[in-house]
Amino acid sequence: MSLSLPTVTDVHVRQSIGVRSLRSRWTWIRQEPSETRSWICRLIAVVLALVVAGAYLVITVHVPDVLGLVLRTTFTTAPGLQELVVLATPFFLTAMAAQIPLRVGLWNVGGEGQFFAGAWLATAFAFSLPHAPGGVLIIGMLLAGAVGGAIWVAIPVLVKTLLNVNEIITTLMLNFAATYWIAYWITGSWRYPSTQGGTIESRFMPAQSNLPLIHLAGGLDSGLIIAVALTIAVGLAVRYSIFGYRTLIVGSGRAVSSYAGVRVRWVIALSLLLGGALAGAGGVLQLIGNSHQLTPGLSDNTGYLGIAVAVLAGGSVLGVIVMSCLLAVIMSVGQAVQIYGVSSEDVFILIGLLLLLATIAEVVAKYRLVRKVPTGGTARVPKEPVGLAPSVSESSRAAVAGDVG
Amino acid sequence: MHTFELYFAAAILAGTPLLLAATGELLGETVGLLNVGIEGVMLIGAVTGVVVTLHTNNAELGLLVGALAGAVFLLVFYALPVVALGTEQILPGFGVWFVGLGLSQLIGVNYENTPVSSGSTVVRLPGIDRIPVVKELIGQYPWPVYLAFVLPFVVAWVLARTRHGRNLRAIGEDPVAASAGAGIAVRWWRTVYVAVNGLLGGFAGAVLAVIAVGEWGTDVTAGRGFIALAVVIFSGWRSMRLIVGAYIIGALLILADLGGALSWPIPSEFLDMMPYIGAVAILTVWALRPGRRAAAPGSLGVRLKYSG
Repeated sequence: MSLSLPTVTDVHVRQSIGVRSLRSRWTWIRQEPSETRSWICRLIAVVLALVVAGAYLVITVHVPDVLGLVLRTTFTTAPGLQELVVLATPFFLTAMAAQIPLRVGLWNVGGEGQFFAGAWLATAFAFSLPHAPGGVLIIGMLLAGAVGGAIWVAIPVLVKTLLNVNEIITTLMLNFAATYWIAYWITGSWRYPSTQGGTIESRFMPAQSNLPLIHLAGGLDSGLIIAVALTIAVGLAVRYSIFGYRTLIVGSGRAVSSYAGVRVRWVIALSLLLGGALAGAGGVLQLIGNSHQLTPGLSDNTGYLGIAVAVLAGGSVLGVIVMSCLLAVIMSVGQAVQIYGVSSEDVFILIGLLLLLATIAEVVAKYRLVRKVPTGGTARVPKEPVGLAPSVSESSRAAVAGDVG
Repeated sequence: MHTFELYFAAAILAGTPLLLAATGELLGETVGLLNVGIEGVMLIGAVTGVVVTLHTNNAELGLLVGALAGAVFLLVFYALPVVALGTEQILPGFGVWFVGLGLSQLIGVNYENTPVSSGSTVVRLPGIDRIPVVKELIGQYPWPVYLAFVLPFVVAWVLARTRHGRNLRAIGEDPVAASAGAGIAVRWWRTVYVAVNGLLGGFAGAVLAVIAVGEWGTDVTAGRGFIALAVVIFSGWRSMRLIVGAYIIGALLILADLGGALSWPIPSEFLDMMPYIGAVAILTVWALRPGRRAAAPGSLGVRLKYSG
């Protein structure tokens, strides 16, 4: 991940590339990859995964030109584009929810739960003030959503900062708690009266809280605009603020940053709370922009997929936007091919492959094939004594256990 | 009233997949490999276990194939990037989870909610199965329950008392020294224990789906893989304490059924939340315990870069 401070180039000679004749003239050099280089490698990973998925589609679905058909309907028809926007909107914020803590080296895997918690608190707000004017309601719900998301991550934050309890597990566990919490309310006092049997949903939100449609391509919902604006605003704020700089410092080493006077716990807490708030706001956007009812289907694994977007995007806001759109295209294609017997959950296989390939790409990006200098040069770099040498990634280490922070 | 005996047995059964998965994860973490994707491995084990059982009417074969599927799956999607290519560990773990989630649904789409007719062999412990109450408490379970209970003791003995166990701990503590100083085949043993982790994870999933639940359903594990991860941390990397953690969560997992049966005045959704809250709670308790020192293997989660 390109989420580290620029470091001194560390040069190691990679000893073997397998082919003996080449070995005499070429060698691998290991160095911290540049932003561009790691981006290129990640993009190659994405393309590879997409090629695999496309090949799978072409082989299993016996319809000639299935890919072209699906892509054409997605990109050239109004419903296709509209669907794309609806799918992309929630990813921006759940991706930011994972990305900001990642700067500190923390995994916020609880985007799903925070998404629901935000939608829940916003629903509570809307139902308690059903006659408020639309503007007040929309802004109030967005704020309530942010608070709700932050509340949902508060316990993981508390135990992380005070006791250094692994945040991966705590944030993830609360996702499941959130689904049951929502189920309790929408089967109870918020239940939509005429729902029969299987599906459960809440009553509709007050009509004036519905986000206005913008008449582009036959009705774009303005949730996308809010989501993109919020993403860019927060992204730039984090990038150019002292806080954002501190997150990177803490991410590159907790002990050192506390020595340098950064209040590590504070940075950890703020980054997670900010992430939770963004996911919560994302839940509200989905609620007032799209579903207008609180249902378990409010999130189509949005929180989990947000993690994937954040990882693929690396540290950049532009990356979040590009990758969210790409994921929306993938999801949309996934839904479109369902009529051919491909389940939409198959998308998870693709996302998993994407993550694996992106991880491998990170390693590949660190190596560079260079021509050996005949005398001296790389040859003088001392050989590593054994086959192994640790390169501590402190973030993942401290994530497990330890007494840092 | 047989309620207590009934729910005690149900809690043990519910805790068994957790215990199996946690034992596998503990072995993986002992050699320094943190796999956060046990959830995906369990799902793969669950779906293959159910499919094989439905086709062959042989639950034993289903469990075995489920376990093997878990091992192969983890070798391909975790050992390949982490051990062979030297990537970092958390992201491939998430990859394993996602691929497992999708792949299991792809495999199981035509088998969803089809009950498994043939259960696994119930072993009646000789002697104990004559004592009235005790026999219902501990005397009659399917064989994987006993295996899951015994395994942590075996693991504890191997890790503490055998040369092989000491080698494994050396790998986890400091792979470079283990390789250079002690001449241990680090990559080989790490690969082997990724396979063992996958084997036990797949077995755990198969036990869950084939025996405890009795059918395949989308995302049947519902976070149990991550709970197992919590149980490992709770144990402080001592395998015998896994038993305590797994059965505590097992008891919380059946709380909703218990509340329904005894018509408690608590909404069932709150009882359903309990295992997840419980997992957070046991982690907190672990962190609060007096005299805490990180007992995690020294190289856990640390990325190694290989050359040659």
